[in-house]
This record gives sequence, structure tokens and C-alpha cells, in this order.
Amino acid sequence: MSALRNIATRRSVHVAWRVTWVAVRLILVFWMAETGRAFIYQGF
Amino acid sequence: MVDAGPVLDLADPRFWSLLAVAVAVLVPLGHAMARQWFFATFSVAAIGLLFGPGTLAVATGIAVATYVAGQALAGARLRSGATPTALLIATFAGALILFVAHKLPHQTAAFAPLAALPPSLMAIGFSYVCLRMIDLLRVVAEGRAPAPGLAGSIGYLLPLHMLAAGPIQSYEAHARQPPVPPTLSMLEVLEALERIVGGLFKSYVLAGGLRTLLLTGFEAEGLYFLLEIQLFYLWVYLDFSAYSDIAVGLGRLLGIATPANFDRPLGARNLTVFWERWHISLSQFIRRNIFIPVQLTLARRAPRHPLRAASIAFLVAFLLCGLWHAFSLHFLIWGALHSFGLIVCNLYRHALTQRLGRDGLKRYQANRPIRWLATAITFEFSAVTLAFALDRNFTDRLVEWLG
Repeated sequence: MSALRNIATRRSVHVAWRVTWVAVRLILVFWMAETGRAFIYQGF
Repeated sequence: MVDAGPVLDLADPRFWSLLAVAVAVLVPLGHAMARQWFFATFSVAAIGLLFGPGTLAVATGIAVATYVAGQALAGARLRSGATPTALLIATFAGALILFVAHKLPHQTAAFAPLAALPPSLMAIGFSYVCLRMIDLLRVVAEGRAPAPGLAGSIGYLLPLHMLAAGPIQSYEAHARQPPVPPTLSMLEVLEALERIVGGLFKSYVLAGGLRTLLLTGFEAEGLYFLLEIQLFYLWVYLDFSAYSDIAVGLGRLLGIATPANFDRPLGARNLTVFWERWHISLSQFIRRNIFIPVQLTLARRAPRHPLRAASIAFLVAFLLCGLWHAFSLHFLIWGALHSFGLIVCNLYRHALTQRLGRDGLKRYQANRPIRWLATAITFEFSAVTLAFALDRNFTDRLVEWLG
């Protein structure tokens, strides 16, 4: 567990997680702007 | 439903391409004057590219007029050693005429030479530009900062990343920032990108999804009508604060101080705190330029009645704040309701201090159930007044729902 915790708290892992979260949000923004709205309208 | 969104379209890829160019040039540029002139040229060129030559001419005209007025005010102050009040009032009158022209497009369009003005003024977000003009001219006239050059005037009045929805940064703070910002570390760049992407996520995914899925334009029946008031408030907050987040992140990358406009306003325990957290740059502008001058003038005339002076200052400040948003009865009533709310808050706080003393007031404020109740009342007051001001359908439906 402590090994896992060491990895999780390592700065590079933290930065990698932040970059990934930025990328995920950006993908969702593009999806929402392009097809997401149409998808939601059809779905509901 | 009335859309509270800005004229500048954030989905326009040209906007992002232009800003990418500005960041690429400004980041390595270490010469203060070169930075100022590049940003000024870039901002007016971008306005021309995005909105056309008419808007470019109007924007440049406003910046040049402000520059000339600033120099004239600084010169008059230097000669007389005092604030040139008459000249300051004359420049304010000029800004006010333009403001009224852009708020009443139909009326001004009747005058052929002025017909091009309102759309161009709308495009550059003149509601915000006008307040920046007033702040700059007052600060220069009172000698609190030197008059800016032409490039400095353009950079303060028309920064591309703040045209969409503010903030209205104070000129004093703007003039104080270092001419060449310190180089950003990779982590600071990441923080700025997080702010921009966070804003886009708020606007497109959260606010966009909420609007598409859950808002009906107050057409829903039964209890959903009450729920929609809360959701509408949340939607406006998400959408508006998203623009602020994007501007703050872009300002960080560009090296131009861009203050945050929102700080958890939905959790405010009273209206005083709410206005310290909602559209912060506007409320600080109102405080600096309307509330404090009115309050001081009245307090000097009647020093025994400080509460009366504060109450009148709240009323004047928020009626004008309502009219700043829109020349409509709805927004005038919205301003009156918020001023009454603030007056009540102020009187209640005064009465509590008298009755409980300072320590008692601290205990009262720390009481959790009271805090929750106060936060809920503030939330509902803000939500209902916002729906009333922004959505024409809301009042009819509220009367129907109650009746």
C-alpha cells in the first residue's frame, strides 16, 4: 500500500493526472459543441 | 428565454487562433513598450478581423478619444493642482451618450450617421468598455495614476480576451502591474490551461447540458417550475463564470492581469457577501465609483445619519447597476430589489451589533443552523430576482403558478 501511495503522490503522476483531466474535458467540450447536443436531443 | 451570453462567439475558431498568435508573440517578448504596442495593435486588428472595418473604426475612435481625454485631464490637473471636475464631467457625459446609444439601438438607428454605432458598440461589449473608460478617466483626473499612452489606452479598454464578458479590471490595479510579467513556469502554464479548459467545460458541458436537458424556459408545470428557478440560477452562474475563468486563464498566458469575477457566490450567507463574490469586478466598480462617493457626500452633509447615507447610496448604486445591465423595467426593479436587500442586511447587522455586541455577533455568525438558513434565503432571493430580470416568461408564469 505504501508503495502505491508513494507512486500516487509523486509529482509527475499528479501532473500527468492533471494533463489527462484537461484533455478529457477538452474532448467532452468538442463532443458537446459538435454532436453532443444533437445526441442529447435525440436521446431524450 | 433571454440569452445572457456575450456577442463575441467563443466557438469561433478565429478567436482562438488569434489568441494563440498573441500568446506566442507576447510570451518571449521582454521589452515593455514593444509588448504594449504589440498587444494594442493585435487587439484592434483582431476586432477588425472578427467584426469588420466599421467596428474597427468605432473601437479605435473610442480608444483615441479616451487617450486624448486622459491626456487633457492629466494636463489640466498638472496646471491647476486639483481634480479638473468640469472636464471630468464633460468626458463622462461623452461616455454616457455612447452608452445610451448602444442600449437604445432602435432609437439611435433613426439617425442615419449614428446607425452603425450600436451594433459596433455591442460587438466590442461597450457596457464593459464604458466602465473601463470611466474608471481610467477618474483615476487620471484624481492623479492616482499617470495618463496612459495610446497603446496603453487600447490595451486597457479593448483587451481581446476580456471583450466577451469582462472583467472590468480597475485602472489603478492595471497601471500597477509590472510592464513585463515574470516568465511562467510549466506548472503555471498548466494552471492557466486548466482554468481555460475548466471554463470551456463549464460553459459547453455543464451549462450547455443543463440548459438542453433541464431548462424549459419556465414552461414546466407544478413543482418543476420552482425547481427550474434554482436550475436557471445555476445555469447563469455556470455560463457567466465560465467566461470569467477563460479570461483569467488567457490573461495569465498573455501576462496581462485579469482579476477573477466569481468566488463561490452561491454559498453567500447574505447579499453583502453575495456582491463580494458575484461579478466581483462590477460590484467593486460600483463601490469605488458610485456607492462610496454618494455615501461620503451624504455623510458629510448629515454626519449623524450614517445608516441613512448608506441606504441612499445602496439605492442609487443598484438602480444604476440595474440600468447598466439593460434599459428595462425588469432590470430597474431587479436593481431596486437588490438595493432593498442590501439596506435590510446593513440595518439588520447594525441592530444585531447593538443588541448582541461584537462578541455576540461573532457567535451569531458562527451558529451553523442560522448560517444555513441565511445562505438558503440569499440563494432564493438571488435566484428569483435573476429569473425575474432575465426571463420575460418568468413573471407571467409566476403569476399563473401562484394564482
